[in-house]
Amino acid sequence: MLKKLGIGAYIACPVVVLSIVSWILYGINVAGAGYFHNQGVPFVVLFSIFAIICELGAVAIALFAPKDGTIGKVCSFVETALLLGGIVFLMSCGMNIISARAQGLGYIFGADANAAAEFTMDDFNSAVLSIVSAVFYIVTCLIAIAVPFFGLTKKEETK
Amino acid sequence: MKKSNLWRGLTGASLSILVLAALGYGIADKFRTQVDNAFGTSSYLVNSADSKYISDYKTGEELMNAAKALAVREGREGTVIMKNDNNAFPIGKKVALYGTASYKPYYGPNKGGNSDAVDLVKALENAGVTLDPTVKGIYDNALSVFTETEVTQWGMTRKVKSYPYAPNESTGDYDANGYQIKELPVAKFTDAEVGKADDNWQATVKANKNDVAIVTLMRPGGEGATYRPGIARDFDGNTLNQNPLALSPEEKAVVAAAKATCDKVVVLLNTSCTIEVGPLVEKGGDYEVDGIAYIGLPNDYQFTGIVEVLTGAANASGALADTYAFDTAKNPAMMNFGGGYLKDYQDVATTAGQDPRWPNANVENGATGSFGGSSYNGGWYIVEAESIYTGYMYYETRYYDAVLNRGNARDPKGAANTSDTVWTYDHEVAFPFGHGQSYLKNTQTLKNVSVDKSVKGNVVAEITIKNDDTKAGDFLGQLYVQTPYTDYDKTNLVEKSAINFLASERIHLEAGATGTVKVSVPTKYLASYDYENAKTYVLDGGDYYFTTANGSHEAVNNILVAQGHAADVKAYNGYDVTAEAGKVFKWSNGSESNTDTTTFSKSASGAEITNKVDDADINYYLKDEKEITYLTRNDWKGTYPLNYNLDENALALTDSDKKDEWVKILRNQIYTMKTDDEVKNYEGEKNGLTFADVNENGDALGDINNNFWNKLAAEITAEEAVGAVIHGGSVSDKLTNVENPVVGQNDGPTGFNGTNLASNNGESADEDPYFVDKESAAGKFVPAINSQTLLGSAFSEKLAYDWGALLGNTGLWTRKYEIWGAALNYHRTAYNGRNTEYPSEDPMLSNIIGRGIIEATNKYGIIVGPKHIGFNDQEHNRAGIQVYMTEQKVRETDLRGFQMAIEDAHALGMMVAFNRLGATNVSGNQGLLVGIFRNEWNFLGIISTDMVNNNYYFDPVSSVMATVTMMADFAQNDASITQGQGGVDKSWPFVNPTTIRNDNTLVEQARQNLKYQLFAFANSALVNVTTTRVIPAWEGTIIALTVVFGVLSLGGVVMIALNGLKGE
Repeated sequence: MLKKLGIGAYIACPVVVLSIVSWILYGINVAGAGYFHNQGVPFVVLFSIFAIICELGAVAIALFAPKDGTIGKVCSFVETALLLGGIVFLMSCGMNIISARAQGLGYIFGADANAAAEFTMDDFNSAVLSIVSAVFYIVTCLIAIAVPFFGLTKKEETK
Repeated sequence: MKKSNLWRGLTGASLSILVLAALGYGIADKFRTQVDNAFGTSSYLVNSADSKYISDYKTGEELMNAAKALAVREGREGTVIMKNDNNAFPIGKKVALYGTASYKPYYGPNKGGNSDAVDLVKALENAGVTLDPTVKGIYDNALSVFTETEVTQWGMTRKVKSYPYAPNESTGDYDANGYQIKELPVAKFTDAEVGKADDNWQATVKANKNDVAIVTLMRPGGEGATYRPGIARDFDGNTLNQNPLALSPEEKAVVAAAKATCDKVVVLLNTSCTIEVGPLVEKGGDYEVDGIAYIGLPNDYQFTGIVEVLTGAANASGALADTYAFDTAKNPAMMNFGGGYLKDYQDVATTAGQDPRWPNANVENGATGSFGGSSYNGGWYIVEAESIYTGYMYYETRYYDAVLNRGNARDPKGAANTSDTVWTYDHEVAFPFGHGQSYLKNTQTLKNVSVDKSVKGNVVAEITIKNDDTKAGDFLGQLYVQTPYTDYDKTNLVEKSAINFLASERIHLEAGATGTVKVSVPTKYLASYDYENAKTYVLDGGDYYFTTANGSHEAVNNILVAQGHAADVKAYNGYDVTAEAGKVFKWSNGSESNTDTTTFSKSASGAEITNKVDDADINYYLKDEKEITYLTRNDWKGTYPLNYNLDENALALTDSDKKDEWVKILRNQIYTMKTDDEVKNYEGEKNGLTFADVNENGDALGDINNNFWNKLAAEITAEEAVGAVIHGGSVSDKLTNVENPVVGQNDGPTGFNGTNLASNNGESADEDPYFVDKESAAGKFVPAINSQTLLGSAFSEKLAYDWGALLGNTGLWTRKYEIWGAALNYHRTAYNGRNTEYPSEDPMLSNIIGRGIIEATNKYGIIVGPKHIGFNDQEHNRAGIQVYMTEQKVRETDLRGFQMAIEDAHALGMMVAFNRLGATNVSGNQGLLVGIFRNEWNFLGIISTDMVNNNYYFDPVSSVMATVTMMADFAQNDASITQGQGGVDKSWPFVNPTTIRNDNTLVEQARQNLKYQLFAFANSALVNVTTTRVIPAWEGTIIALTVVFGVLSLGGVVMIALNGLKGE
């Protein structure tokens, strides 16, 4: 079966892994100590799950779904929709985190010397982790954009 | 590559940019002001037409020059000559300038930062003073030394410059290691890498025969800054077992070096936190100096005025706004400072499911600083057991009682000097509140005092001042009063200061001339709050002694002598005290047994005045046997405060028989949303009114009770009403049906900081009367030039008014109509770093300053909101600290500083403090905000929280019910409560369309709060302008990106579909 895999599938695999890593980073940010402790961002968990489902679903369809006939065409549409959906969800996660965290990041990185003294290293680490998790989502999204350019299967790669 | 893959790829890329642009737009819109500032764009075009509020200035240059002149005047009027032996002041023309703060003074936060700012060196040189080149060279060399270190943080390395010999401007947040006092050690003067002086530098300086040596000593402060008493660090970082406000060994060494090289030495105190000057005034001591002057925290131009006083070009007429104690940590208020945890504070924490507002969260209960946190912030507390006795009210009252040997006042309990067997005033106070020496001889008498004993009556006093000198100059007249301390007071624990500052003003007199200073304050300030028995203000029967004096101590002595206690004074002090004739006026209010409990039981607006914040008193929660004792002057020894944060005295929730109520409040659940109170008017009534119709509806503009306002507020949809309050942001929200103006908030006490006069120019000079060429000096001028500390020590409501007028004018010129600009908290102790923004230890002095500022700004239609009301008595753990006190203290200390600004001058804004009053977050404290401010003081304006930093500490529905009009954050136009997952509020999910639909009380209150906001806007210079929303370049770009990539995405989808159907 692996022989059927196209370049797109090989790119989709790290996308799935990076999506999970981004989600974990976000989870640590919310669960861990520091400024953003307990401060979940709306839709991020849901969209992360959707994004992973989309990427895995697209690969699964590419590998297992019929390629011919009407069913094949429908499956191809669904595969495309899932690939595009994954991109949208990943970018949404990154931007939602930035949107929700921007004010807190402003407090932490924009404070004057005395106010900054009130922040603990946990707060700074929490802020950095927020940024890192958002960046991870966006970078994952950028990689995910490459997937549809290539076929998920070798058959899709060639005319 | 397959064509279909190409389309899929391009569509994916396009979609990602579409999402980026669309969500990015949301972020940029949320922070519109900041984005505009970053790009130098504007989202609103404003045009002035038929202005109701008009500037006094014809050009920006006129305004700039007036601002600079006012700043110089603040320096001139606010400089205080505290000590002047051997004619040390005025200083001569040759000066050896010592101390790093002389070359790098501490200015406090939000200095204007104008390029032509004048520092001390420049001001002296401008005045024709020659600075000793050797000494100047040492400091110039030392302060130019810097080190560059590579700092690696989060994988990034950058170079950071640090100046090891510059003063330490970071107080720290109650730093357990103590504040480091970084005065340049004298040993470094000759260091080849630092001062670079030769070994004979002292002989060189001496040979230069300077007239005087000046040593400037500084202590910083600021937001988030709190000193820890009892510990400090020297230049090298070694621990010093001394207060951080006491002189360090290096500072003493510099004074000694100055004394060794000059015949006369004067010290300048550059601080808002009183420095302990004991060594500088010790007769014959190694560090005794000839003169001391207070210079506060200057801004850009004040040094010119300060130097006018130092050189004698202007008479010295400022007075100390704080008592200078020998030991700043030895007074009743400092017994409970810093705070600590309730023993069982963790019982307040909840796990998922325990708090219905947070069903999925574990909410802790630790203390956090100002920002952030995932905690109820309900663990940390202090008990302000000193009652009203802070600052001079403590020292002078205890002195009065000690002289008369009453109330165990002579007991050494609380004495600064532990070896004292008798509490001795002269061992406690170096310089009293209100003290300030004049160069010019003058005679002051109290000509007349009239007391109108009605609820709206005033005390009017005339102080006659005769200039007995041969030069013209300014003079300051101060009015004090002693109210009777009766048996009724003793029985009912009504505390009385032996002396109260009432009012002051200054006058310019030619040589030999006589003039009259007339001051007026409401008579209600003669009454005291009786929280135990009458539960309202009481005006005691008996004799009231008014006096004019150079400070609180002279005032008490004047009264003691007038009462026939001169012998007692001599017996206690060991020396005579004289009082000139005509300084005291006695007003008799009948017998002491006639306590008037009715006249001042109603406010000027007719509202009943009674206890509103009983729960501010810790005894409200404590079981009878656990109740704590507040200090009373009836027994100084027996009631001197304990430290209620020490382990042996620490309080616990289990000490309460109201534990459940206490815990609920500590969880910030002050108001619980109703579930059965259906909203009757969810979408808003269709009354056909808009904000602009205010002028078409009779007297609606000046009368909030006009039905126009209720009808207008009723139009606001339920969701927008709640959303606009709880996401008040830094810009007011657009209300769909009301078409209200969008108004930005600004900061702070120095003026519109970071704003130059060309900000918000209209389109052209032809259309905009307040157009300033942005390339001109005026266009670049930042008018944030106020010094709140020098405003305090000027003791002048006139100066405060003139500052307010300038602030109002700058608001008109920069089209900024709302500012948190009059910080008026009192200095409970010297250890609160935020004293940088507050004028004085005396709330009455802040009170008259507040009245002056607000009366002026209202004239120009600028909404100035006093802050941080109230009880921001320390910055350490300010977000959540429980501050407990009696209701008498609530009303007669911190709140008094704000009262006239609101009740008499009718401020239309206020910002409340971060902390709790009692256990209740001030932002949700209905007793305070509704009971006192809205009802008693008839406050009709905007109430903003301080920056909302923690969704667990700030409870939005409680703030709505406390009539808060906007919870502050950085958000912009955002009145939505549906942006969270599942259509709930993004910050507080328990607030959502479903829950508010079942709480009509909440929704109607939110509408009422916005009514206050709209009323305030209508009565401001906002009515000067029409605002047109425009699309700045950055916004146009984002919109274009969204549209283009939206179309491309759609096209891509179509192509994919076509390719798919074709079977590719």
